Amino acid sequence: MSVDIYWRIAMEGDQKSLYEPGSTRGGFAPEQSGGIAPGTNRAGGDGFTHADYMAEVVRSSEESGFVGGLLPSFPHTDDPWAAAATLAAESRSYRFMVAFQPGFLHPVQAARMSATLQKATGGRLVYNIISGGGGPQQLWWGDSTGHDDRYARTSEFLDVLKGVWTGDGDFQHEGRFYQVADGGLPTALSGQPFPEIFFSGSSPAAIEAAGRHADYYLSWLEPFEALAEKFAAVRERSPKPPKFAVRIDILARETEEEAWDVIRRGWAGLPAEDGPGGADAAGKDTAGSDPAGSDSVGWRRSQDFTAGADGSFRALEVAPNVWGGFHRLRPGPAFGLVGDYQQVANRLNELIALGVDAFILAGVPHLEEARRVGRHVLPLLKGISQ
Amino acid sequence: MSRFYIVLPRVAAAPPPVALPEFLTDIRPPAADPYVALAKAADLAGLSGVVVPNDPDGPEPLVTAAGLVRVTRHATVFAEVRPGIATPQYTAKFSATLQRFSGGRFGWYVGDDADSTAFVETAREFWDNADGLPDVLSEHAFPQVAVAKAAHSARLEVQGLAPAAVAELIDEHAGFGVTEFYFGVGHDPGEIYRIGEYVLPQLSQQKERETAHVG
Repeated sequence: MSVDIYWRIAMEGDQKSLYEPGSTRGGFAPEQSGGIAPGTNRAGGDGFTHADYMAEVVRSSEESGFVGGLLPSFPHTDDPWAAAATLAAESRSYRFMVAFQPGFLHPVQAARMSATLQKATGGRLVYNIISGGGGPQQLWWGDSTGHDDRYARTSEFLDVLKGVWTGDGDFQHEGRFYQVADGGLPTALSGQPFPEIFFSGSSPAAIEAAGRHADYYLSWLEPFEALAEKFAAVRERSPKPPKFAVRIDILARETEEEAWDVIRRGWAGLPAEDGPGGADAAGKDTAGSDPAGSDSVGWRRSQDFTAGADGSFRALEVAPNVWGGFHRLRPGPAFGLVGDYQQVANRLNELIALGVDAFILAGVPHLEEARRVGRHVLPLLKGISQ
Repeated sequence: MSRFYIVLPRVAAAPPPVALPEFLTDIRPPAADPYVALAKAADLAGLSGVVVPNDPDGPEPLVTAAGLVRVTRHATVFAEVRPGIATPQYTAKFSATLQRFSGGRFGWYVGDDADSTAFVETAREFWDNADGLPDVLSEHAFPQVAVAKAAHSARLEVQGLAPAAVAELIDEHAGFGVTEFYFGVGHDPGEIYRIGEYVLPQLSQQKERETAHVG
């Protein structure tokens, strides 16, 4: 069994460290003294844009042993399709995992864009299909479809996309959301591998839809028992069970003390929390997490696990090395692994034993942490001995 | 002032690579993306822009344009945008990223029909509205919009024409008030370099002569 380890590309700009909040990299903030690799939005100054920063992360993680990078999607950050297409020529073997919501693109257009990218990269496109955090965000994109309907539409979207991919100009579809007559790809684009699908979503409707289409069922990290239950539910509902993937933040250092010290310093700089979930409500950037008004089940689940924690950061360590406070220190989901290199590797090995086939790892700052994790953690991973 | 653009050729028109005589050592790699060489030629030859038209038999224009933005420094890269490919909001967001990456060198090439006009307007509103694109993404202007068959524009097929013939065509159209010139080119970047080398300087010399007459 082979395990695919992806890295994450910071679409939202990057912090200098977990204990110095504020995006100072890659064209999301004005140049400030002490900032590392600041970019300029207008490509003035030294001309270093967010694309240049992302290209550095791509090359660093490619060299460090990652098979590819997730380009996540948020309303206030750069677009993953545009970024993947811009960066395609910057790497040789690296896969670009493009996060997108089917509602905003027509499936025929998605097929053409995908095939064009497959052609440009020699088949290195991977999908992360999200059906949306919903709520106000969804309307903002020009999409008013309701929660459960979105999964039905995602399903139909992928049916059409696959139909067009293999259709020879004779794919017909009369559906609830889409109509296509004589669909197919032109000769110049046809015959390429269909991108692997990483499917996200924690609700029953999502799991139902994942069963039909997912190569990988992708979850944020949760306490391991909860994750195992989730996988079991997906297995049970799927005619053909998918593989499993987990998206995890990693904070690994030479010693455990060093690792927790990073958290301690970050925690010390936080404003007092004004109630459960208050960090996000208090105006902190919510990339990757879902703001108030969202109908995301995944986000509610992560909040349930950390509710009742007494406010000290160590209380959020719900199991050894499994820490649920990352969302307070950087935009994104709550859980990640904190510890020395061996401890973090052990937890990852446990997840592999639990049935995880792929990881999307991340660390702040994404550039340096890719090299650190690649050098010190990946070599300690063990597969399952048969 | 006149502006000059190239319109990328259709994929179906791509000729096979030039055959070298047998006795020459030939270690050429397989042809790279042909559009990159054409866009770079337009960029280096001092033309204003590159249009990536929608070729039903070819690659998707937005994806192609994103790649070209990365390999050019001055030229504006226009992707043909058609209503129905995506929501106007999403298309605006995609475009905001390319504006950021290119320092404002991304544009839309659109039809002059009512649907296209409405699509552009919705996208533009989303770009400018406080509740639309966040400021950090919309700090650049909305992509430059080039409308097909707009007044004062002309498409000239220049493939295979000598520089003098191209200059003559330009003069002729300039006489009718054309200021936006879209050159239909073939797959040879050399022709685009020759426009920069021979045609554009000749035009500016003419302008100087005319000015001298008036004086």
